[in-house]
Amino acid sequence: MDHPNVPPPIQVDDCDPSHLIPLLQRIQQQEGYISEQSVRQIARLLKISENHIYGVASFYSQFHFQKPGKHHLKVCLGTACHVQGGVQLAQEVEKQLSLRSGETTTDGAIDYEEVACLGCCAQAAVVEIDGVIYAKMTTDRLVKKLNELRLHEPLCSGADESSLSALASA
Amino acid sequence: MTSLWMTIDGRVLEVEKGETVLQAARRYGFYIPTLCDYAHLTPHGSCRLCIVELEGSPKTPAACTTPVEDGMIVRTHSPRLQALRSEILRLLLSEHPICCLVCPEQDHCDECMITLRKSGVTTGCRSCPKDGLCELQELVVRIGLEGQSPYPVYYRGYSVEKGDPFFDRDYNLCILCGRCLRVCEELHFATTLTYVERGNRTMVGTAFGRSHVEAGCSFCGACVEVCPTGALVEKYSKWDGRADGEATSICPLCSLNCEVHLLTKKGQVINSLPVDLLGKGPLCLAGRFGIPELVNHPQRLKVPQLREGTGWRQLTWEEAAQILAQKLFNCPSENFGLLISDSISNEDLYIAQKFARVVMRTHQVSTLAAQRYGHGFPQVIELLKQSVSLQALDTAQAVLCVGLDTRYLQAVVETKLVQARRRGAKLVTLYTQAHNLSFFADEELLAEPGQEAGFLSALTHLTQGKLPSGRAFSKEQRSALQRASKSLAASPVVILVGSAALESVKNKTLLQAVQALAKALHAIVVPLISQGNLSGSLMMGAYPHLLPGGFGLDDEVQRQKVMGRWSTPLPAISTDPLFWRQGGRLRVLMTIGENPPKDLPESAFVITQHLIPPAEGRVDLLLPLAAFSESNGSWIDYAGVMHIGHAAVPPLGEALPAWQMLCKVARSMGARGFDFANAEEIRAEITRVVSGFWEGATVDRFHLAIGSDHKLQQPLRAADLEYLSYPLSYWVQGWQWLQTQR
Repeated sequence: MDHPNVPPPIQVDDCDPSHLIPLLQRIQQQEGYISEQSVRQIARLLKISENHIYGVASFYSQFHFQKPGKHHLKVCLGTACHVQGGVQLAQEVEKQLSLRSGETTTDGAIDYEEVACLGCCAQAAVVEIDGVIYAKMTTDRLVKKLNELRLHEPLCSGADESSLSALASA
Repeated sequence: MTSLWMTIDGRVLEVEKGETVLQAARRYGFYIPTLCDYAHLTPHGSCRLCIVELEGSPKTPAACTTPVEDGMIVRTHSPRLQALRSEILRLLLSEHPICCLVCPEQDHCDECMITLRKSGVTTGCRSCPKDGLCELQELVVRIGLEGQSPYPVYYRGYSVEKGDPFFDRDYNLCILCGRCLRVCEELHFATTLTYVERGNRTMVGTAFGRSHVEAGCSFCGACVEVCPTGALVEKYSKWDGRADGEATSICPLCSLNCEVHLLTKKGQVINSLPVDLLGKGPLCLAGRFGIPELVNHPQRLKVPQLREGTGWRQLTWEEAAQILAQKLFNCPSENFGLLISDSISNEDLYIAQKFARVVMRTHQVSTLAAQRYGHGFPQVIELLKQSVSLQALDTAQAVLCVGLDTRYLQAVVETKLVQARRRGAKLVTLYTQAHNLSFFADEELLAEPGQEAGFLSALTHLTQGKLPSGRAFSKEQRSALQRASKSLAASPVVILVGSAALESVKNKTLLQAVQALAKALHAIVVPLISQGNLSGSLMMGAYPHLLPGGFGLDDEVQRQKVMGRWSTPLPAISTDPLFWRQGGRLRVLMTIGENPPKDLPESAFVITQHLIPPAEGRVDLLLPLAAFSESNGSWIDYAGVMHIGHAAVPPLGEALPAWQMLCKVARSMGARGFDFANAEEIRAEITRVVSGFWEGATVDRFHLAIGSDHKLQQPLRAADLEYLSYPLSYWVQGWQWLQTQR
């Protein structure tokens, strides 16, 4: 029954429901998403219902319920990116990959998320792929990148892009 | 309580510290509109309609979440509040279908009900099943919407969830008041409903979009009852609209005998609700959703019928009584038998045994309880004698549940366990499989089928401090037993015995072990019998060996009392408690609410009074029985407490309660002492024969258990709750479906 990947409980001897969010965070960090199995285990541990846990977890956008894809794609829809055509980028992703925000392609290659701001508005419109920011994105360049991702080819990042990712992580 | 003074709408009032402004205002008769508030639920403050003005504050706080303060000056109505409330309603309505408010045909809706109902069922044109019952609709009419709405209509476009039994969910109509999820949390260990997502995508749902069955719902129907809009509605009465009558009766489907509030329309029961949802608790699915389906079963018998060749001839009651009188007149007393259901009312049971003893001069009257409980029947009676009300859980420090699964049936008990556990009581379960309580119990004991008694005696030994060595327990089981014993060390302890234990094949040893443990722990034992009136059948003496009052046939004092009251000698002592199994001897068998046994001789004349035609067994004369909702009657519950049920509707067709049928036949046979006009007159006679009947509590009044030396059959294993010889799944479609899901 035991799931090998679930981190050991924070405190075994008391089933205090206030441990719920730290537990969810650890699972999200270690597994990349909150699976049905982990929810069942937390329910047993804390003696609260799975529905309740799901209710709490689904409130926060940091928790995901689908197994993440191999590559992570984020399109920014913040104000600056919106002005610079972020919506068109999002539509292109939907068209190309038949994905809506929060979903993963059926082959598990790419997961996709629309986000509010990635913190580099001066470079709008931006797209983030596997933690790397791609600046001043156009639909043509996005299609190219997506094709690269789909072929599982290693992504070559230009000089401007790597400097940006350093900026983003700083 | 400390008293404070505050002013509401200019009136200076004395209020109690700790109250909310809403509670205080309501107590003094002020009207403040609310949607998310529901009696006895924790305040939520989400609908914002109860906003009030506070003197000295620019804000308009919600009255339901604002505690009263000394010197507070509150205004409940002002042009500003009116405008704000109107605005809030408009915002709510921008996401809520509003045909019921704006339809130009609205005024004609009621008079054209018939046509509209038809189209509503087929096309859904009548906008909403809650039309006329919706709290939002009522508030819009009451508060009013001023001017045009500036908000575009936003349709959420959820598909209606119809996949689960008993109720439909249309979350397009949901206003997110949170009543359903709060009531669910209040009543159950496992919350089924929760808010999922957030912002404008918030909706009420379950984990991972599961169905209610998968999500652990017990279908107690509390959420449906509290829903202010048409988001949650019963499937059965979805388009029935407003009820035109009501009555309080009791649910005869199990021995808990919960009070039910029956809603009726045009002489039919359309809905069944708990009397006080958050006070006395909810109903289980049997009482909440099963009753309307059961009493309106499509196969209900309406007139007496006589078998003629392969067909049936309809009779009047006079003809039927004459045929019966003739058959019974020519039947020697030792060749007559009467089988009656143990879910039927005391009045019916009393008249049935009186009929057999006075008119037919035989003791051959019985229910099938002896067959059902087999060797363990004396132990079941023993437990019933000592049983007390579930109110014992209010003070219990530890509770042991033996063979009790409250997921669906008897879900009412779960609510009481939730309350006990919140109070700090320990919960220990003993069952053969994981079930709804095991998840939340402090200690779960899992026994192999047949090993439960071993676990119980191990617990008994542990009260002396030591687990006997050499017993077949694994290391884990031994430590689980140790922990369970520690949990049960607190006092007082209540042991609940569920139907899986009571009706198990080895119930005799199991129940003996329960009694031994109860003795060692000084615990109270409550058997949660599944038959609606087993206690009543014992008290009324509807067994070959029992006299009214539960006395043995050889109890001379009671014998004299009964003979004096009936002014007739009692027949000689009969000895066979399973007379209906003696094959060729029976010439006339009458069954009331029971199917006739299959192995009866061809020559026997079989009379059956039932709600529906028996699915098996041969019947010669078929009589329609009035449902419990169609007659007054009394029932005695698992704790020996009497409950009175009132008729909600007149009997269907020419159906009669059993006592009326028997009195009719007795009178046409010239017998005296059967001139009862109503159930109250029978109760008056019972009171004279059974001392203490009116007081209700019957704890020590079953003076005799049927001796354990009788060769009883092996009991049947309990798979389902049974009512009038059919499993509940035969009566209730949703339950049948749920059974297939298990």
